[in-house]
Amino acid sequence: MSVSARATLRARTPDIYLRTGFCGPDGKIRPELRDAEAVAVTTQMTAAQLSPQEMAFTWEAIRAWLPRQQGVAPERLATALAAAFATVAGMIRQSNNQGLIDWCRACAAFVTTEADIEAFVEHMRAVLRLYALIAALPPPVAQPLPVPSVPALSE
Amino acid sequence: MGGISADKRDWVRTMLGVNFAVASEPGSAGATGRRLSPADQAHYDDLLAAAAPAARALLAKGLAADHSLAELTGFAARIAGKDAAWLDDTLNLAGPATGSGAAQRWGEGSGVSPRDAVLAELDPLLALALRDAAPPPGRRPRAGLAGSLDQIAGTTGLRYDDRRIGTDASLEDCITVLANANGAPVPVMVGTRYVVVTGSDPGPPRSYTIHDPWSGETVARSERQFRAGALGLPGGGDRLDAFAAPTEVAP
Repeated sequence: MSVSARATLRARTPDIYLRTGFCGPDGKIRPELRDAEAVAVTTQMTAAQLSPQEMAFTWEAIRAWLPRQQGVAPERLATALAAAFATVAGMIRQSNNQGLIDWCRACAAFVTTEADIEAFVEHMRAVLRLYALIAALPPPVAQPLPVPSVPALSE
Repeated sequence: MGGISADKRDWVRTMLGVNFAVASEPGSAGATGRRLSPADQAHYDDLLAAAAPAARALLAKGLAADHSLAELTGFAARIAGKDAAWLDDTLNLAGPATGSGAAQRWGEGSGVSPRDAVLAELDPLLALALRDAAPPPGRRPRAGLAGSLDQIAGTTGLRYDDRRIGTDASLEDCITVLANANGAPVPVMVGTRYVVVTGSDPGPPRSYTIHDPWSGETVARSERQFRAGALGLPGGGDRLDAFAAPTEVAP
């Protein structure tokens, strides 16, 4: 991969990077969903002003609700997402972050199988780990200013 | 949001297919999805009849969460006489918010993991039990980046250990960590800032993806460039000075 600038990463939404689906030919999550594409999503969530903790609550709520849903995979995930958003909104006493809702729903549109659901949960975990870690990093240390050379005083 | 009442019942009703407004009426435990014996149904109805309106929905939630009638009886006794504000403050483990936007956090320092906070939202008896639990013995916070990352270990599922290259680790140690990170992000210090190695490609030649959150740029660099101290990051910096080695922690 060459240099990917912030604007490029922000434009890399699920409708672009999920065109080839969640899973590779081996039926497992495509590796880039845990790496480069997760980085792109963190850039988008930063722009959406998402709290890492809200993302953590939402990921956990999705995992809590998924086993309680029945039906085919797309329906199961859609219902679990709706329940998870409602759960988190109740917890945080405010509306869910719209950027997170939009991203989750955009991902869900590409889910067709149970393996896709597992891959989505794994992809979201990769995003969450990275997003929380980046938010916890200390800011860069300021470079010390160069000491100006003082010309010797001439007598 | 005002207390436990209508809005929370509404979301539960909508999302679960359980109408807690109905389930908290006598004779309607079946609305929670539970089938009770006639004796248990009568017992449950007695609990509901004795409870305040705000507490009835919580009892129905507890029933839906598969608690026994004995457990619900104990819970009803604990919350008897408490007003809606007390119930909300006590049973919502996310706690009040601080900050705004991307910096917003709930329940800072409460020691409750995001997983427990979510499960407690779905089960008021669990919420009360977690509130009652003794706080874990105080441990002196670790210094450095590892100490900061300990604060989010419940979210990341990772614990980190700080290593400074040339002092308590070698460059080869760092490369070994990067090659075996298994998807865990690894913060590395390059010059004056931390950037994050987010993944690797075994190649050959093996390469790593580096994200610089300060410049917003992502690049790939080969293992050879790491060894040569020739990273040439767009935001500046050529060689690694330190890193934080990740370890998976049990959930």
